[in-house]
Amino acid sequence: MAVENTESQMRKGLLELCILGIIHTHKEAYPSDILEQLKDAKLVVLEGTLYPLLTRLKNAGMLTYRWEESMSGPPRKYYALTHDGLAFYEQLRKSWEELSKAVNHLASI
Amino acid sequence: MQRIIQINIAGRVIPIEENAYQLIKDYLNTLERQFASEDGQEEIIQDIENRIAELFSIRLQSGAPAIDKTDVEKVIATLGNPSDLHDSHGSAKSSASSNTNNNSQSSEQQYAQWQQYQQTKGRRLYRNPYDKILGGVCSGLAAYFDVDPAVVRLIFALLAFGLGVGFLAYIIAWIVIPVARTPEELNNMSGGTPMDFHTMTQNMGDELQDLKKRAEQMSKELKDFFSKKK
Repeated sequence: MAVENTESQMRKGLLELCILGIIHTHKEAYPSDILEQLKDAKLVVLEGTLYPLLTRLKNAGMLTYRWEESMSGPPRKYYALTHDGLAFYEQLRKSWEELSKAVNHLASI
Repeated sequence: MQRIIQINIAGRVIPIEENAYQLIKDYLNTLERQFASEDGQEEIIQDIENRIAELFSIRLQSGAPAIDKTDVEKVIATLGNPSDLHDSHGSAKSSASSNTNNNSQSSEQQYAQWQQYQQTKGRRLYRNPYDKILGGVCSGLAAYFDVDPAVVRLIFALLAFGLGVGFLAYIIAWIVIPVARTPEELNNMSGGTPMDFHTMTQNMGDELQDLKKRAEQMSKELKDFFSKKK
């Protein structure tokens, strides 16, 4: 079994939480901001994986967006959490904290 | 010689070389098929087109007369190959191909082409900037040969203390092996720009700066370590 495969599955699962977290802290975020933040945190993702994820979250009612004109190119979509999105994020965050606590506890035995 | 054509992407007019246009068109077509079973397919493709237009605009603003094939390849590397994006949404491919059977080329075929494209690029040797003690040489070598980085580090360390060649070999490897920068390079440890003298000297400067920081950190850690021992 390849460790890369397991790693990439783990990363994918947590990406949603990370994206919601970034949008939450910044109130509003543009996809390239999100990528920049992920990169700073050494969580390497392909840009192409972000767009479908954002659209899915938006269609599920977790995110809204507004357009903003940009100097360097086409207008940009700025995403923000909806009321549902905030509850969803807090729930995910809680489960992650419990999970990571459990994993750390088990791994340190 | 390449013919330059004008295309309209996300409302922007972009001058682009003809073979580069073919490449980006194929890429978008493949993506469209891949997301065919998704509810938000049109929107996802639109977002990606917007991003492509933005990346192209940045390139043109920096003085390029037209987008060429290398630019397109870079953009695709940033966004990710359809094959890499594909496994994040399981069954998208199979349902996509059944919808588009009437097209001249099925998505299965296009997907196979992409895989081939990936394979021809093959695996390459890179230094891994996210797993390094000094320059990431050992972890890069380890990724290349599918072994544990610790083993490679041990060999280098033994060579350095035993014969003295390990240290020199490491420095040379540090200079000649490029660092993996894009997610694609990191994923495959493949692709990237060929080394020329200019990038080599530039890299040396960056690495020396980085090494300085790491050395300071390391000496601090060593101090802490010894002061704890006493």
